[in-house]
Amino acid sequence: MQPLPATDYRCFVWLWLMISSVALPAAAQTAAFEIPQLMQILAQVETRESAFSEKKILALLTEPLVSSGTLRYRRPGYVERMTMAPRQERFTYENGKIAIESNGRQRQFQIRDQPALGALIESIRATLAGDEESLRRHYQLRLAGTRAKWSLEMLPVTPDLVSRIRLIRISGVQDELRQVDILEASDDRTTMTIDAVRH
Amino acid sequence: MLLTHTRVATDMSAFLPRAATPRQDLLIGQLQHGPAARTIMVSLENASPGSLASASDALADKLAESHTFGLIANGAFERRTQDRNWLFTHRYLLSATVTTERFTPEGLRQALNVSRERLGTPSGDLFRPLMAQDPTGELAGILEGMDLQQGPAMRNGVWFDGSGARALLLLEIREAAPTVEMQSAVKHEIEQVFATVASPEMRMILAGPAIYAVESRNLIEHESLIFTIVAAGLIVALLAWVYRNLAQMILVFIPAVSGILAAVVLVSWYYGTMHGITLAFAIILLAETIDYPSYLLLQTSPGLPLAVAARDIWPTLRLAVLTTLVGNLAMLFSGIAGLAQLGLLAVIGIAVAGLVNRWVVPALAPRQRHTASASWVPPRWLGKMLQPRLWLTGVAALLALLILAVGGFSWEDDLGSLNPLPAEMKMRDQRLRGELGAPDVRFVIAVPAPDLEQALRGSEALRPALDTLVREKLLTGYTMAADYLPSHATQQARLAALPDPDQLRQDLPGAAQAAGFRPDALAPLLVEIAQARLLSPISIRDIPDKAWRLRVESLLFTQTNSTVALITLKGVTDSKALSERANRLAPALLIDLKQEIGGLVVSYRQQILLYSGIGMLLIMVLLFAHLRRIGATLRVVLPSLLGMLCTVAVLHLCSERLNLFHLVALLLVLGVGINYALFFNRAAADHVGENRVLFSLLICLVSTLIGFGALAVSSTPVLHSIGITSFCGTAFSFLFSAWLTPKIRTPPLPLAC
Repeated sequence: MQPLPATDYRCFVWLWLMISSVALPAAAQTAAFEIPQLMQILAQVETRESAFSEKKILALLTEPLVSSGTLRYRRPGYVERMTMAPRQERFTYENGKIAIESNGRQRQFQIRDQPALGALIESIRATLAGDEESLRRHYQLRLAGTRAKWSLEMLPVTPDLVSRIRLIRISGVQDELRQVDILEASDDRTTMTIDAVRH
Repeated sequence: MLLTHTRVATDMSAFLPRAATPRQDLLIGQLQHGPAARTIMVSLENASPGSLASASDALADKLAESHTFGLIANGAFERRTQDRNWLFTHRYLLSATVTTERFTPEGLRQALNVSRERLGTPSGDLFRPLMAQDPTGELAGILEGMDLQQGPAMRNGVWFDGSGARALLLLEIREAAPTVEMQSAVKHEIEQVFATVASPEMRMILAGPAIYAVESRNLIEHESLIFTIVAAGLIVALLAWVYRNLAQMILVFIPAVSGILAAVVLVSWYYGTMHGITLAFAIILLAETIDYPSYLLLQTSPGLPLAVAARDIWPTLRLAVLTTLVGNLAMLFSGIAGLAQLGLLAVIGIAVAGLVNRWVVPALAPRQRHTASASWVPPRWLGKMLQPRLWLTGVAALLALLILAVGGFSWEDDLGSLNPLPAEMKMRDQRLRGELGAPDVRFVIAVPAPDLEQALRGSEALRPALDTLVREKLLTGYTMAADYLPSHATQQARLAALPDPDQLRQDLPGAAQAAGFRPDALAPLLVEIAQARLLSPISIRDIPDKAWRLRVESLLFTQTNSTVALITLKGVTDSKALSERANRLAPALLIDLKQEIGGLVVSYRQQILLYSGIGMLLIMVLLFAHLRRIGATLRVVLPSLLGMLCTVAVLHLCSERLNLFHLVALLLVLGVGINYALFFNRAAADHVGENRVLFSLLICLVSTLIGFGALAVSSTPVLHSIGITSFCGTAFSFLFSAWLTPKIRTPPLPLAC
């Protein structure tokens, strides 16, 4: 590598100072960025709508399975996942009830009939709603990062969840969710990437 | 004793004509016991959507605890299929996709591709734990392929109507042929459970044939009682004014009461139960038989011993009794239980009342009689009005004919018009049925077969034709018992289609690889297939899942030595086009309930017309035998016939289409009208008693009009039809009898001994 010219070096120092002037307050924030604060900023969002793509790495399959579609959320309890590929399906969750619509047919069931699936959906719903109490019912929580880029890890505590799920990690920027990773006990893993929010 | 135990059966189906063909038999069975007949629709309203949804769930949960209902649906589908293990074990027998091609390398690859794609959605992902055992997705296919309710909108996780203000539930009574008592108990049960789950302001509306059966029974019983009381009260007041003496008044009721008692006891004894409508006819009977002692008491001059008077009046009265009797005889042979009962009730009641009037009343009468008739002189206007007016009668008859000729005459052949329920209740049914997407009640396909297996096979054979109809957009879907329980033949074929384990072991890895599955991950399939090959076909008794089994049973209609599988249709858009294509479904029958019932009513009406024609002929023969002159016979019969004609014209002007009950009421008018004509003619023959006879006729007319008038204001269509027809008919017959009876100048009829 060629040594930097002096003028360029001064420029570099200036740039470094610029960056640290931004980064220092952020570092100061890190210390104060706790779960209640994350929950608070998340709870302020009324509606969300974003495109997503999901990659599943399953023991059954030789290749990752990719799906995509749109996510919608309305405070405090409505979550919708519209899968467009590989096949169309509208999945909605509200008040403990799941409705699935595909091929022009609709099916509904109670979350209590599918407890593991319920806890999984609830982890997303409660995060979106900033509902810490509900999250703690199913998971032990661990927050890392800053307000600008955070990552919330959830470790299941209820037995039937523990038997199926090892870890859920939700990462985000400010009040937006950007990625959901689910690591299952079977080593199957799912990574959902969420586009920037369209309010 | 028998009288207090008289069971009042109000089931309107007793008034359905008896089936003439096997097809009609099937139809009536379907009407009375089919899935549509057992459906109860529930609507909860007047609270927030949240609390309505919780109430809907709580209601469904609590109702499921009793064994009253085979189906309880409120949108939370999973309630209905709880035994997934059973389904999973028998998936290769129940899944329509199990064919030989399914397990060829290419078939496997395609099935596995679908399964892989399924994993990309949350619902498909639910099947992931079962994927290694069921990689071709048979369970998912069964669950997805089932006909799930499409209709209602979802709100708060349960069904709501379009406006979002009412939560909806659909119940189906488990009992195949519930009696009105059972239906009443079911209604009570729902109401009780509702009271425990609802908030105070919440309201529940029930709809469905079972509910209507109960409500119409209550309505008819309630109305019968009120009208009996009102009519009886008015008649008593009238008679009190006429007779001014309690003993005489009681005497007036003796023939009527003994007639009714005898008739009710005998009809109850003979039939076991008595219909509410039949009981309502007691009012008509009461009104008519009260006439008999009035003729006797009011026409006799005060000094004459009543025994002598009774003998004097007997030839006329006997003829009056006999003509009414003969007129009602036709109903006895009508073939409809309700009407036959009515005929029997009328014949017995009238005969007994007539005999009591002849032999008992004179013996009981007080020696000193004083009635309003003794001093009565008709007011001038009345005398004028009742003058013979041949030309006016002719004009009235011509006018009636003109009205009918211009307006066009039409029969009402929709059985719905005979339904005792108010129109509001029928609207409610339509609305809820539409919202719930409950099976179309107008069309049903019946697959008659000697046994269950044949019925299931017959249904399965119809699938291609039905799918074509769906493709042609004539319907949106169909449900058959074979969806839930395939025929043994089909199950055997599916078992036979399962591959040989060695062959599968060879083909599976390649197909798995091609579809993106890791071959060793799918190894459990080999064990599953080997186990499935050992299964034997399931029968209806083998289904452990209650909801599943009841779904099958509700689509089967089992008779003593045959089984009919029913296929319900959904979303029928063009009924005409569908009917035109019905021949594609042969030998199964597309039943258009509306049209078939119309056909039944028409054939029944023709029967009634035939029998009343015979009745009329018998009356003529009877009169001619007594009067021995055609002119005299016509003078007695013509007023009633013209009265009937004018009544039909009036009904037409009131835009009432003539239904069966109008027709029966006209038959009753004939009997009463002939009585008037007979006595007018007798009055003309008796110079001294003319005023007394006229007075007695007027009293009879007014009391009859009170009885029929009470029926005419009823909100029950059947009672209303009878009331208005009889009211008009009686009034017309009275007028025409007066107008057509010549004054003394002509020789009197041989009515006095």
